[in-house]
Amino acid sequence: MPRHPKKALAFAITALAALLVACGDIANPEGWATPHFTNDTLYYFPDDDTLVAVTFDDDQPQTVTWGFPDTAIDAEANLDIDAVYGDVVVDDDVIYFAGWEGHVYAVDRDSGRLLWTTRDRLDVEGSIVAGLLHHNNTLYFGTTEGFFYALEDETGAPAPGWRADGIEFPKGLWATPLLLDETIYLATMTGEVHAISAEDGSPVWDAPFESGTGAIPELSLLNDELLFVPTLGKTVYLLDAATGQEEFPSFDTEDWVWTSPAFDGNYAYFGDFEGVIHALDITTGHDAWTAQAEDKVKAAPAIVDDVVVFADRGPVVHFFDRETGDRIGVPNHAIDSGTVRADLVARDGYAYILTTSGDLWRADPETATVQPVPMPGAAE
Amino acid sequence: MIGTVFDLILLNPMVNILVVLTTVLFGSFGLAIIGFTILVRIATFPLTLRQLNQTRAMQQLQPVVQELQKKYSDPKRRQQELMKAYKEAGVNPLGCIGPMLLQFPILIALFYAIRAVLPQSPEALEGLSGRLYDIAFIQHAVPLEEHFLGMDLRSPNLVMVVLVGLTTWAQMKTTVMYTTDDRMKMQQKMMTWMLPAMLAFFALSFPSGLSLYWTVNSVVGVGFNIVTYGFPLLGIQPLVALRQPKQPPSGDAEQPEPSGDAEPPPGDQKGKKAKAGVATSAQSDRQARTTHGSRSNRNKRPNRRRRS
Repeated sequence: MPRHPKKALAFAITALAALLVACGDIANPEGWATPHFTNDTLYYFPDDDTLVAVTFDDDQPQTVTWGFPDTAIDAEANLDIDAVYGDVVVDDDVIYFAGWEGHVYAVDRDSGRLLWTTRDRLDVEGSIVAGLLHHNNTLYFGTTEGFFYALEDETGAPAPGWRADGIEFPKGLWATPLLLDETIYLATMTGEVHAISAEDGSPVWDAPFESGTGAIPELSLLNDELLFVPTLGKTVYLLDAATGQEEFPSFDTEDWVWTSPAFDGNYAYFGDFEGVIHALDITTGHDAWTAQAEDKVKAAPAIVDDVVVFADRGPVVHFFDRETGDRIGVPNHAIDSGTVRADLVARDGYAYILTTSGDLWRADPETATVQPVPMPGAAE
Repeated sequence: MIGTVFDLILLNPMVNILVVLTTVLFGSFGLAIIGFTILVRIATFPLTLRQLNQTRAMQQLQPVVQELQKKYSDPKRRQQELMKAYKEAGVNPLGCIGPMLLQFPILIALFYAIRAVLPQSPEALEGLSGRLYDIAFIQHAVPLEEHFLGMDLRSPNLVMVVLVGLTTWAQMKTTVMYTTDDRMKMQQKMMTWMLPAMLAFFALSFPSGLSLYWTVNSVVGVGFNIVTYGFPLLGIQPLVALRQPKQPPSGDAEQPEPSGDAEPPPGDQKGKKAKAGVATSAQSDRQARTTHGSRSNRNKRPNRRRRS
């Protein structure tokens, strides 16, 4: 009864606010950085703000040698890493990565301690989704606001010859920059691909490639000639890296393509958000075969011998003969926590799968099985 | 289940409408929110008009309601008589809260729509794929520009917080309040300040896009109020006449006296006296400062006489 309509209104607004605030945190960044293996160590993010190094021996994790940041250390206590999406760059002595909050970090590879960070020194425009490109003592990266930066890898200072406040491109550099023959390739969320000089950022192509079909969230080099350009407009382009021209007519998909492909020299394997798995023959520009996953596919697959392994967002793991597309075994539902957005990694006959819960799983193509990889505790 | 229905019938259509509006309105999501607000107000205008009519009719029945409340001590019987009086006067007591209630699912959906369309994280953008219709025009439009007039529409903004408070206050001030009850007048006066303050407080944590919607909604509401009731403080006369309710069934119920200097709405042939207590909240404030107390006493006297 509207005897006290404004009381009712106040009550309803309070209830509304409580509901909205209670349901507010629906979009926290979690990150999807790919685990990185060296000969004897795995570097990965078990949660959104911590990088750990785990030694491996005979395919078994042995010891967590360090974690970064260590809040017990003053220099690392207040770093506030939000999440990491781009893959870590592992150099001889240093590991580099960029956080969603807009900071770049250099970490000593042996000790896991901070060498430098751009925090408090470089206020970038936007957030960082893209990974870092490391070339010629320089780290390159783009931001969600479309700014492209180059830093000295030794200090994190702006690289000589590059604008300290970044070069502005059309909005949204979400894809990790690529390098080929001193040319850097950048993709924008406005649907453009740019080729610029690694020396000074000057344009290399006569004009940027314009997809006309929406945002380009990823960019990959299939060989030394072809750029794999997926879009959120359900189209994939294969571009000549030298000219920026389409090598084949654009390739339509069922839904968004937001992933890197696994490439075996002939086929580019990738999935779309409709769960369709493609084996794109780069000699014809057409699918050699397709298959259907059970959920959208965000993570790049891994090629292990003659098998290509996919993990969809279910998460369900799928094994296919990479030549014929024949399914091996049945879709595997073993993973029981989180989902899969990080690219799969092939290593020593297995495909490693990192879930958003921070658990590592190992898929065995020979048996089409998936097993958890038990992680050790931190070293004393 | 409820979430799925909410997504299908409210959230997803809203997301797609916002994307289309953004594309049409020069790629500006801020303009899209403004356009969306105006569309919502236009679409709900019949309800709004009905609300204005019902509110007015309800309040013109106040003397009758008061009489019935005093006449019947049994709550059940009192309720029956009240409903009978409402029915005879052609008034639906719930009719004036329709548009108000309609705002809440729209607000909730808009809150989520803004978060979906202007993702705060890559994961949120990934989630948008499932909400967009399979139309190239829409698919190619994302991600949208999240800045408008220097504001990040995904995050709270202090300017918008102030505007939410001010425009809500303005809407409350221009809202017609018919009541002869001192206690209700006090409550309404308090709510004129409390509600804007409360909403401004909430706006501190809401996306400024949602605050933009509320601000534009309130501005349009102020416009409706002024067009409908005028704004005597500024010498603005009502531009449209509201439907008059049927004559209250208890003809012997005394009408409350007009509240101050409110002009009778056009079309009301009973003149100023019949505009029982019609006043904007601004007028009510003035009355409270001047003749409010004595008028209230006068209103109560006839009832006391009848009771004795």
